[in-house]
Amino acid sequence: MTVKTDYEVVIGLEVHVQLNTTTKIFCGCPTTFNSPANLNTCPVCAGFPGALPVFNKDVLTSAIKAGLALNCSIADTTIFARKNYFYPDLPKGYQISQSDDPICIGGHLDVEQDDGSYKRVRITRIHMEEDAGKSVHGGSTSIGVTDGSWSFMDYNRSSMPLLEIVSEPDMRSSEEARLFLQQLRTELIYTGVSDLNMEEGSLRCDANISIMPKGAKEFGTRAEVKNLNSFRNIQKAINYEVERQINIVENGGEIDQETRLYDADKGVTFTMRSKEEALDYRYFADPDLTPIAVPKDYVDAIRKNMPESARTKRDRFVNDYAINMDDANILVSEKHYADYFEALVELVESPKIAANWILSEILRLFKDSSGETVFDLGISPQQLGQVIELIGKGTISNNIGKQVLGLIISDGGTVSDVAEIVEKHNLAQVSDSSEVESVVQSVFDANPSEFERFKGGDKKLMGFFMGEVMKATKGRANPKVLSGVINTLANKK
Amino acid sequence: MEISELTLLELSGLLNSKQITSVELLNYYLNRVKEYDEDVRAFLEIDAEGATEAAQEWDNKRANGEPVPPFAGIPMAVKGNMADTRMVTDAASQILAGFVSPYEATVLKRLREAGFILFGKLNLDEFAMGSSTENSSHFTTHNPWNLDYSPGGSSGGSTAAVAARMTPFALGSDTGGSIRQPASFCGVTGFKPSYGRVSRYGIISFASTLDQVGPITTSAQDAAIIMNIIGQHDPNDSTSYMPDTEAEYLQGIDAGVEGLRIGVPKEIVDHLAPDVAELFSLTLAKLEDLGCIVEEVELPRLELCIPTYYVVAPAEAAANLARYDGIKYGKRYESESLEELYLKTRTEYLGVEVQRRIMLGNLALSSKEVSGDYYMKAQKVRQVVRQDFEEVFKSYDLIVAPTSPTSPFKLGDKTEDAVSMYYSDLLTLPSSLYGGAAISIPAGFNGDGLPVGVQIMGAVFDDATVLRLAHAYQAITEHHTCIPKDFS
Amino acid sequence: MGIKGDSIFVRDITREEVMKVAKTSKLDLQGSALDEMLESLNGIMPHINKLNEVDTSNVEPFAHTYATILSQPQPQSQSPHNHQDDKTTETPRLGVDAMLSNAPKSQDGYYQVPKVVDS
Repeated sequence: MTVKTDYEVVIGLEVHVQLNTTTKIFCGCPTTFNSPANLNTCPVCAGFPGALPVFNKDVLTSAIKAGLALNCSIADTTIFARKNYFYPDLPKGYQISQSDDPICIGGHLDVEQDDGSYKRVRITRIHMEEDAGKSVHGGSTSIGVTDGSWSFMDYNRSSMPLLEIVSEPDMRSSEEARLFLQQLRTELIYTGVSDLNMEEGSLRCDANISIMPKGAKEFGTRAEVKNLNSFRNIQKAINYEVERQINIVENGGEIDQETRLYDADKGVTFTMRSKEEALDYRYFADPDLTPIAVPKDYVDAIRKNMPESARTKRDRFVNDYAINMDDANILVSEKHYADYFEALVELVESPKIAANWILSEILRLFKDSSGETVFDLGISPQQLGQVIELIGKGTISNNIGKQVLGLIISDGGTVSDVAEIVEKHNLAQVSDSSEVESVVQSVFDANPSEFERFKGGDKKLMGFFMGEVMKATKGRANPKVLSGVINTLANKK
Repeated sequence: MEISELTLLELSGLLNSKQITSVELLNYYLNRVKEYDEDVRAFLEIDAEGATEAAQEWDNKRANGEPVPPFAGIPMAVKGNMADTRMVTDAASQILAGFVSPYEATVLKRLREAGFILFGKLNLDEFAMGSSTENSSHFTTHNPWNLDYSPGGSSGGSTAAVAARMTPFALGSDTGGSIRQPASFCGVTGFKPSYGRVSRYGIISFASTLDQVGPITTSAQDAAIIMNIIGQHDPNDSTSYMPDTEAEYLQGIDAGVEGLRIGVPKEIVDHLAPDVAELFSLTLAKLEDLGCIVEEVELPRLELCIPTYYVVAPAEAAANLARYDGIKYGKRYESESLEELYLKTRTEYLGVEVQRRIMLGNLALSSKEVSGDYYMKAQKVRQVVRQDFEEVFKSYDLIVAPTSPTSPFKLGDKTEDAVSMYYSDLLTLPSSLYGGAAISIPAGFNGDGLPVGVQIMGAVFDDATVLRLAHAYQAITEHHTCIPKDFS
Repeated sequence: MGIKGDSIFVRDITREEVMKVAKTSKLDLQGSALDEMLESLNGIMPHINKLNEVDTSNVEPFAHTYATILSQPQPQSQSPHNHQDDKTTETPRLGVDAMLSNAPKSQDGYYQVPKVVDS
């Protein structure tokens, strides 16, 4: 397609974050995942006649933490409102949400771009609300129902606590949108209010997308795209949607203000609700819940106990530990990485070496594991610290050190002392030259022609002999000692 | 003395002195229901088996000398919009036909734990929307004082059952007068507590900022006894009031009313039917006899209560009734299309009056962009009404007015005209809107022998003063002890 | 058209508006039922217009009977309202069977509805 005009893309995001409280937002049902259908329900969250909501105050604390992390103002008084619409996954026929008086207003996130510059994305508001239930559609084998003419409602998720974070339309490319969401996630992870897991649905995102000729003042008509369930899909969906809109405008058409869904399999967006079908939500203050006063000292107490933000932590890693920026960014990208690093750095001399071990070995092992955090690997920072220490002392080699990590995992915690593992598996480096000498001699004896060439000056064979000795000693020979012994023995003869 | 004439304290005395067993007392009322309810049609359902079992248990405990609560073993019946776990709770709507709640309303739990025995559910206007009990999807309840007349509504089943002494007392619910107006029509005592005094948990919601449960009894003292049990904080209702100490309604009810300042809104005069006006002036004279200072007060915006109420209540109701969609419980119109299931279920199984209020409510909520925010406007006018009343309560302890501008009307007389039906709520709406306590007590009988009630309104949370004046009035009058002659 | 201040604009409702609100309310009003609804709503609307008699431009809306006492996220004893603590000790769950006992149609612990088409 040849585009006549240069377009500017305008993107605003609505991000849903499921909070990790123990119980739901308006009843005492547990928030556990993967329970049998409708087990975690009660008259309140299943919308039974006469049942009434009572607000879980931990949700307020979480909302304030998120707001402070995103530089928002916290409201003095916050009010829940009913958002009215019919849908089978919405048992009351309305969602308890917030409208005119949300808990947080007017924040921002400075999003770091790939070139290291920052771009500010303003946060319009953050509000608290309850989640809807889950629909399972017939024909799906997951619940053993194959009759495709039915849908099945599970209200376990109904009334799970959510925050909706609404950004201003400040992003100008799908890349910016992805960076915003990734860095928003990182900042929020540090507040501890949510697991923020896109696959499990604890982080969800809708995008409002429009285009306008470059330099124009007025935004184009926007389409809302729902159901963006991975960072990759967000970028793909936005790109698709932008192209679709440009196509329409270039062909003299007009963009409809509508709600669209992203189909990840086909990589396309399609109309879910047209403007004519747009729902009239008829918001009004929920009369079953009282307005909530948020005293200043309550907010101050939360502010005082706010954990260090990802960005502050990263800068501290760079400044205090001389970790380079890229490595520091990875270390703080998940809170458990950073926690692991901070535990390890206390135990070893070189922060740089600590960082390298985590970034190379621990993250590799973690990615192949099924654990939720690096702590679940079964290698404690203390154990890794011991490994690093043994390498430093020359007791084991770097390579053996990596092997030891595997053994710590396979020993499954039965032997916790690393020195003991090294001993049990006979992994200590052999530095005693007489011991090495006998092995070198037997290798020379087994490879007489190579030995002759080596003696004759073919120094390239050094590598071959070292390899053979390492094979014979299972890598335990101290390489420095070994090369000396090889030279000495060869010259002797 | 006939059991039907006894107060709760007297019944408790009989039980505790073992002059009667709980099973005997229950059977006495079950027999009255059998004898009279064919005519009155107050009861939707009777749970004789469950009640007998409970009565037997209290009897056994008493026989064994185990400690029991003072009112253990006294039967009761409640309006059909309150969730118990044995009988149907359908709010007299087809859309909830056959619904048995999996959980129990807080008020019923409290009363059960205090020893009261629930034996029946009582008729009402569908979802408590109406003033005549004619909007019930089951049948119409008749006024025990004259079966051709309406018992009022929406708690008409509750007030008729108490009037015919088919239960020692009942519970009703009041949103814009649904306890007080039928109490007035049936010649019984009906108390609407201050909003927040009684838990709404387990009461099928009509309008959440107005709904309040209250006792329907034969005396103000009995009402205070029941209030001591149900009028306490409930952690399951966010709008439940939490005073510093346990609320007390009975203590001090005898303290007398001399010197109490009573305001009578001057604006009501034009609205009163002659029979009501006449009995009302006699009541005021009695209050003066008791030593009260009775004066006229101005409430120029009284009439605005009607449009305020008819925006606020339907708007809240429209949302509250959205859950009746045929998916989780109740009746559903089967269809292969979800949309048709929704539409047919709600259109076929919700009554016309209920549909009208849902429409009115959604109209009020959805007009925002073109016509302004009706709900917000009404809630602001409501604030002004409250300020008006607060102003009066600065100078007066209580406000007194008739409960209804008219005496009971005949069945079928008013159902045609929705607006005139709404206007009959004029005198009960104010305390619902500002949230104060109000009681309707019998004030005498008109020329046709039909009861007329008078209403005492108090400031928010001043429930005790309302009950005190009602009790003082009942101490010097006998209207509240009158039983319709066919039922005595 | 916009509305000045906080007054409301009340006028006769049209048939189309009634149909639209009926759709929002999931009510299927047709023919005479629609006519009767239109007539009775238009009987009520003029009364609602009376709300404009009060200037409420400086009035806070009534939210609750005692909205001046706001609920605070403080220890429960100091709060006039309820907030529930997280980690309730007593679960309100009643079990799948009890929850589904009133369902018009259910299967394998799910409430069953005709296939939801749009998403």
